[in-house]
Amino acid sequence: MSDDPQAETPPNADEVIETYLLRREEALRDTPGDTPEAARAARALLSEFMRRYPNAAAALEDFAATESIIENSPGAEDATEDERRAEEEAIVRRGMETAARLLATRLAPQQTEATAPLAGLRKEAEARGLTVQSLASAIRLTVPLLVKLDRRLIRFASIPRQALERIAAELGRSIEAVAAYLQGDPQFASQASFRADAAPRMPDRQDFFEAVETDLTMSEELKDEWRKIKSDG
Amino acid sequence: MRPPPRRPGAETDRNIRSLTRRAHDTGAPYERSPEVEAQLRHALSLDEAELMEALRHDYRSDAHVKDEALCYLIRERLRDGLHESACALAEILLRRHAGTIKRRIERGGIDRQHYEDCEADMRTRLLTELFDADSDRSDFAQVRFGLYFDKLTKGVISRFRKSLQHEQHAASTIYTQDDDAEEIDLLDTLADEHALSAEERALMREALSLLPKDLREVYTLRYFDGWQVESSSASEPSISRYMGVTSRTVRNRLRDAEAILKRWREGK
Repeated sequence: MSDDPQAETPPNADEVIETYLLRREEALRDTPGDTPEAARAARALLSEFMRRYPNAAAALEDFAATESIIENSPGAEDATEDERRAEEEAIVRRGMETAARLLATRLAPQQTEATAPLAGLRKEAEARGLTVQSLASAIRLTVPLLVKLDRRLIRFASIPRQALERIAAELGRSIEAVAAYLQGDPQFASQASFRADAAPRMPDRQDFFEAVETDLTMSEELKDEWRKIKSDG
Repeated sequence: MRPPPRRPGAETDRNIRSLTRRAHDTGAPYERSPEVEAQLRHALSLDEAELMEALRHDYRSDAHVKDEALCYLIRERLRDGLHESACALAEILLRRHAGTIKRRIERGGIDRQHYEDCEADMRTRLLTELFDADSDRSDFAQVRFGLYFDKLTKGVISRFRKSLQHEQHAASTIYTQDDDAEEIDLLDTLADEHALSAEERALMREALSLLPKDLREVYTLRYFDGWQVESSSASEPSISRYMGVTSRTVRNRLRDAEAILKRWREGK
């Protein structure tokens, strides 16, 4: 048995996919790219990895299918060259904003006042290296419901204290700072564009528990947790 | 696992920090390619202005600085507290791959409503791992950046697709409605040797854009990758399990795809 703790720890799905990609590259090195032989070899290796790492079998299957779908799907052709460049430039700009937030968090964690105003739930999460999905999962919500909270489309008075506490804990901020953010004005989706003559109207804010009940992506198990919080409250 | 502490003066005598992550199946430590190591030795001999000049060469040039080397340089600058320089290098890396990020999200079938979340997830993961100079999470990026980037971007798209799939299934029962349609039993018997030949694959790629997304995805998994429609084995990739639909629905989609492609062939 190796003394290396990494070797003794069962690999997670991310590590398994990493190894799978390396081995596939080796296996296909001498096989011509887009041929039935290459597809067969890739599938055999995928099966081998799914068998060898049953805990990561579903993730491997999802990953391989997504790869194939991306590679075999036609791209969007409606964008002009200028639009394409502008979108790529926007990705770089947003990336540099993320980099700046990550560095700011690394540089001066002690300077971040727990009660300082929040820039937004997703932005704060990004600054802490959390993705939207991981934040939603940590606070026992779904991405769509988290986005609603981030855009302040949920009536503040209906948000249970447990939700505020979990958000505050994950973001390393005070409950007061989270509460102050969630009581701000609602926001439109960042990608929304409006062509109507009349100014767009913001939808009415939704009750938190109603949003839970109507959330199609939330499991019944998770809904039951929130239902219990509601009945206990 | 944390990398060993930085040795004072390591950069001045051109020592390059070793990687500490290992491949899980063999236990072998990750190693950069000799080309990347050579590029790093050269890059470490340059001052900032010379390095920025060197980074202007695109991938077609022999002098192109590879992404693997760029990742190392970003992390070393962070360790040295050269944050502005680290950000400048990270911007170059992002600029190299912004187009790929955009194309992959579009081709991955992520709609406009979720596009920005998906893109944010990718760039946050990429930068968080690269900027986490205390861990070896991104060692793979210095070994095979292309594979690392595949794992990261396609992994994010895969998770978004699953989430959207769940949402669609919860909202609709459309996929069970067509279960009454005629089943193609023949497909059950098709082994992978019936998958498309090299010539057919090249020809069919042109026609894939004619297929609606649902049909195209099923078709490519079946005929380009040779996946089974369904399988009772958890280690055998199966279209129905991946799609979260019944095997009959998969067969019906394949039949519909074939009908469209047959018309296309006849019209050619």
